[in-house]
Amino acid sequence: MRARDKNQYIATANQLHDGAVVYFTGKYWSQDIEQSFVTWDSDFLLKLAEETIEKENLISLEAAKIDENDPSISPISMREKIKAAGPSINY
Amino acid sequence: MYQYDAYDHKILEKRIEEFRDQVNRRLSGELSEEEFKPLRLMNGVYLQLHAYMLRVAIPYGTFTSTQLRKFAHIARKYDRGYGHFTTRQNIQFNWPKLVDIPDILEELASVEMHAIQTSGNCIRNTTSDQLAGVAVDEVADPRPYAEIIRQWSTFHPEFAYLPRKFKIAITGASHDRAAINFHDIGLEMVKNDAGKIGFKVIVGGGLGRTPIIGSVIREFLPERHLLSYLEAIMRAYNLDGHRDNKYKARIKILVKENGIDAYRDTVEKEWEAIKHEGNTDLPEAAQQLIFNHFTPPTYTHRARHKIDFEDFFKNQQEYAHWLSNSRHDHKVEGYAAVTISLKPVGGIPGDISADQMDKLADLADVFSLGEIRSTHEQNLVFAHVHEDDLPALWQELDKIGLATPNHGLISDIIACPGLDYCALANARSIPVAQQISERFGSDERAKEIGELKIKISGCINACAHHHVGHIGILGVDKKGVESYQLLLGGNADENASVGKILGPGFSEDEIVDAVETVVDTYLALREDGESFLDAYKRLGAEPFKGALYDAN
Repeated sequence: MRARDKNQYIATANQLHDGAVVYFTGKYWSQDIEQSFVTWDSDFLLKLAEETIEKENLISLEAAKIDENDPSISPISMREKIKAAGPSINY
Repeated sequence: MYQYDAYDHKILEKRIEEFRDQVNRRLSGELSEEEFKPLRLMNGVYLQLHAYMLRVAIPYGTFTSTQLRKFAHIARKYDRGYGHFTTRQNIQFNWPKLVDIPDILEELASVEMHAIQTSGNCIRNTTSDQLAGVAVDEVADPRPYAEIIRQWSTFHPEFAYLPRKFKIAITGASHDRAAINFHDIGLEMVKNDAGKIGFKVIVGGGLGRTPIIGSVIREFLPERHLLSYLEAIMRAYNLDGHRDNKYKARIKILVKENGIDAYRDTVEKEWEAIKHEGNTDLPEAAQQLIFNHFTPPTYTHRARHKIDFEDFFKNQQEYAHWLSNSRHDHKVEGYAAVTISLKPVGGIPGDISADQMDKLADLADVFSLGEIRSTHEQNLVFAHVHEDDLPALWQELDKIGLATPNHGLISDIIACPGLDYCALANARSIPVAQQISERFGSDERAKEIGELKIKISGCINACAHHHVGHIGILGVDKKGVESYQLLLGGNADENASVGKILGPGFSEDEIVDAVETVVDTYLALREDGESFLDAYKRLGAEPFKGALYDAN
């Protein structure tokens, strides 16, 4: 049996036609991070998500660690925070 | 500047048709992402964090008001109303949809522009001195040679799949504004004892994870042999460059490993063979055809634009400050070149809105023969302004927020897009640049500090040239948190040097204070009229280290 990672993960990708960021819900993909499927097993998550990305016209599949102490789904790294929220600057 | 002939137009038409087909095949699933990615990169299309990015080539940083208006149109119709000038004199759009990109390329082709050679392992867009053709310290205008290199390198079959990307910069001036020591090949136009024009050829410079100052491979290359010699350098690199490790694949590693003398020997052998074949160097007549596009303009114009005298006299100190750092001497008496800063205090370095682009295009028509230059420091230049028009130009630039008087000063910061956009970045660059710019936003303070170049990269790839900043800042990822290393003493001009890391990094909250500590230390220790760089050379790193770290 696989040992549990201490971190929780979500899966992200970009839409092929415009590059917009989307999140894997477990069944489909959504632009709303709050609908993300959360798991400790990033390998399992990526395998499950990988099966859908070609059909859904998605690219650049990645797993992102989230903060399990945050009641909302909140990525830990600055990279994933920015990916979720958009540039931190007023462009 | 160079104008396309029917053949050039046909090349672009075919290329766009080909890319449109590739995009359609990708969207229909006929091409996989693995198959498509190198094809989109060959057309300047990257995937960033939130969207695609299209990088458009601006050959040797010279473009027209018509082309600038096209950028504005593209920014409005296909993007989010702005563009971003890069450290290789190009412009990029951060939000295009893949499905729109073939249409954007058609729009660009209609004004003789494209996105070829802005990505991938090919010879990239050749960069040059933004004052080319008008600089007082120039041996000759380097742009005809940059154009020759552009035509030679575009779709050159032998160099379409190099071990890594390859960057060439060329200058005709003794003061290096094109960072030629930090390119794969740097070319400086020189005259020999007989008064003949040629090139000093520098090879193996670069930044990135292994910053290296280029080595002189040939002190004088007769100008007629430019292409054969470049081809010899490229052939030697293409054959021997590392293809098994992308981090060791640049020419700088090859030159460093073998030594410049051994590399020179290899190049000389290749060059002899190429010269013997006799097909590479341009015949004089063909070369002249290119040169005909670069005849100096006739300087008889003056805008005679109306000046608002009341405003001018009220703000003449501001004007004088702007003039002192934005105006550059010109070859032709009575004219000047003017840097237009894209670094408003607290703004995003290199960004310009579509409205500003349109208005700037109008001003270029009135004041500078309809021509604009981009600089590797992410600013723009009007190269043909009558001295008498400077007050009126300043007033008009001020109206559109483009008269920031900070060129060459502490808030004229180079910053890469960093983690706000870039998928490769480890830390944000732009917010740090904005905070530093605000901290030192006062004109008086900036003036007191004097020339000081800050360059901020969001990762080791060094797109913002942090290694050659007088103060360089490198953003790194420290367990998911941004951290910033400080480097001091870098210099991109003819007195090239690579900055040294001072010590442990600083958090986002600390980095602006750290920069201020470095600046205050310099101000306290400098001698009369001594620049930051000269003071650092005299003092070394210790006083700065002491000020930054001893208290902790």
